[in-house]
Amino acid sequence: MAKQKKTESEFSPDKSTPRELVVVAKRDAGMRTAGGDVFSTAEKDTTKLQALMTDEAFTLTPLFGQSEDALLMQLQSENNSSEEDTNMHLYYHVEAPDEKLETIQKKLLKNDMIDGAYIKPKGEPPIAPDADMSPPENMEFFSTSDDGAPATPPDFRNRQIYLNAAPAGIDARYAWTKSGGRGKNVRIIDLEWGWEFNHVDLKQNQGGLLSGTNATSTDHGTAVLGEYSGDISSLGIEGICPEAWAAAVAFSQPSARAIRIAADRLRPGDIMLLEIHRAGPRHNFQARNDQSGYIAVEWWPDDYEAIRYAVNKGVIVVEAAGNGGQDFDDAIYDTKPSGFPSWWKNPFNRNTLDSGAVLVGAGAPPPGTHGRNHGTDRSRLSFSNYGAAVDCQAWGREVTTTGYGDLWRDPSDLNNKDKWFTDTFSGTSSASPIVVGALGCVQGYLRARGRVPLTPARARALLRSTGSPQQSTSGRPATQRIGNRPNLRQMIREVSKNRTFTGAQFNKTLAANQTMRFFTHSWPAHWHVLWTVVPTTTGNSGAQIKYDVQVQRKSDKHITYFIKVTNLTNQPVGIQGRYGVLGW
Amino acid sequence: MRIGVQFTGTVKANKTKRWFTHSWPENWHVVWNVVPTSPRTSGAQIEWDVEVKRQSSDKITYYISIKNKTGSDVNIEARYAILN
Repeated sequence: MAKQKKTESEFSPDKSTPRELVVVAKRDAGMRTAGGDVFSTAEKDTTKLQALMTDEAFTLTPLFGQSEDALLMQLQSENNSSEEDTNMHLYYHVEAPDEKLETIQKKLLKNDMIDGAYIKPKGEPPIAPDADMSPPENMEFFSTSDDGAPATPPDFRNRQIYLNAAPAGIDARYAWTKSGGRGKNVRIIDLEWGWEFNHVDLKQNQGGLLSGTNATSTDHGTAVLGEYSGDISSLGIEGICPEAWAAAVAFSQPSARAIRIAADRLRPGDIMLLEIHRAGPRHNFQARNDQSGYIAVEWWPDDYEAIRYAVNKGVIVVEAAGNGGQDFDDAIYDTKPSGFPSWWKNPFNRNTLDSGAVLVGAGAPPPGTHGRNHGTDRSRLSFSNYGAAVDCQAWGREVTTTGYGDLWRDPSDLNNKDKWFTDTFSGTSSASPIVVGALGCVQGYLRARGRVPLTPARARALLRSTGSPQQSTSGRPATQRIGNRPNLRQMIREVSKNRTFTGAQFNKTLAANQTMRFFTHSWPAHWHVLWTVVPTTTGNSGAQIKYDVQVQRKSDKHITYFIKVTNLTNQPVGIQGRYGVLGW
Repeated sequence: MRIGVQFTGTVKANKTKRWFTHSWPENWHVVWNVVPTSPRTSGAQIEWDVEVKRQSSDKITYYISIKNKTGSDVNIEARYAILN
């Protein structure tokens, strides 16, 4: 197989990813690739597929970055599962020129070994489509230096209304009064394209770029980082959870691979932020300047798989809902596109398929913020996607943070991006990092107290059950759901609650010398549950029963308990299995 | 009642690993609970038992042995509850 020449479809440091052709092998095909060849561990005929690869001059590489068998071994080890439970080894990335992707896709779909082959539109950062981040012509600098020496950025914290008490803000300042409430001992990875890692307000607790290549366009990532990680100082801005460790993984590689790499760098309770959206089916997957029809990436099977992998590891995935102005409950999203694998269902309908991610919509800031008005406070912004799957909202306009330079630049060095600040970061791009910051504060608060950190499912439930409610504005009723704006005072109060209760789970009679194993499922994973078993039949002498408990983590959300009870006597013994929920 | 996570770790496939945690006040009524943190679609993953040592007149050491019942490594989280 000849090596491909560099083409437009190759990944490069840019502010978007190219289109991707993703192939999903049938599970029973036993497909493997090596050195440009394809073979089958199930002894399937690979001749046609090999010929197609040669004729069309493309290669297949495992999408998630390792050989199929290495990936299987790792997945089965980490997730404790069998080959039937894992899917990631079935995905391949097609290395081919962009203009040939449709032709190759059609031919691949006719092959017996292939379950799916689909083209993903390019991924883009979800900044508001009409955002003008250039400095105003009459821009006045907040401070100047008479002698031309580098200037120190002014204190912009009073412009960060989103830090303030609810309902205007998320009440980060309240969280900061609690030990751990600035995100201590929490790790956060932002996934997108570029960052200004030498920014003067991003010096503390930075992990830098963990994987991929930094883009030349760095404003977006810099703005995102500033929202939750801006340094604690009177210089510039301050992040929501600046004591959290903040790092980055670049989409200079297939997005699903990047997500998996980030997941492998995080622990249960840590947070991953997906700053990306793509053109969906509304306009036939066509890229558009106005972003109409752009949707969250979990809708594509490989990104869904990668997010699910992270969630299964206990990592909270916060995902921009996207700026396409779409109703996720519309039937168009239930329609399986040509080439999606057979198992696929619409993840926006969580009853059928649930990525486990927190989907974030963009809401209006309080009217008058920075002298502008975007509609009623907490109303859906016109570009924000909405629907039952959107978990919560945050500011989609007027976010003061690092980057872009429309608020302030160093007068002595206007092109020095390390000192740029903005007043107008926007989109589900600006909303999602606020939610990340709120969760970072809660996780830090819990970890500082030795408490079980939020699981992905519990984080989602907490964001839905607390917060400042969405409001209607002209033409955009609150029924177009983007959820509540986080309120850290409420969130911390809620996670601080605890309850103790006991009960009987099962009753049974064991025959003489019989051992029985009971199981009970769907117990919330963060509950501290203890089990005891007692006889209900009176004994004459000596012990009647013994028992032991085994545990299974069924999902990030639930635990199953297995209780094995042995009758030690020669008589039937009635038993009762009892639980004590000690708290969470 | 106070509850919390004392340690996290990994138990190798089909192995038992023993942790200890010391200097718990002897007048605290402490119970232990261990859960896996990596999901599995079927079957029990772990079981555990607790042994106790009075390390001094006022301190107690707990030994928690966790047995991995599967053929793959399991990540675990050990939780305590102080009942009084």
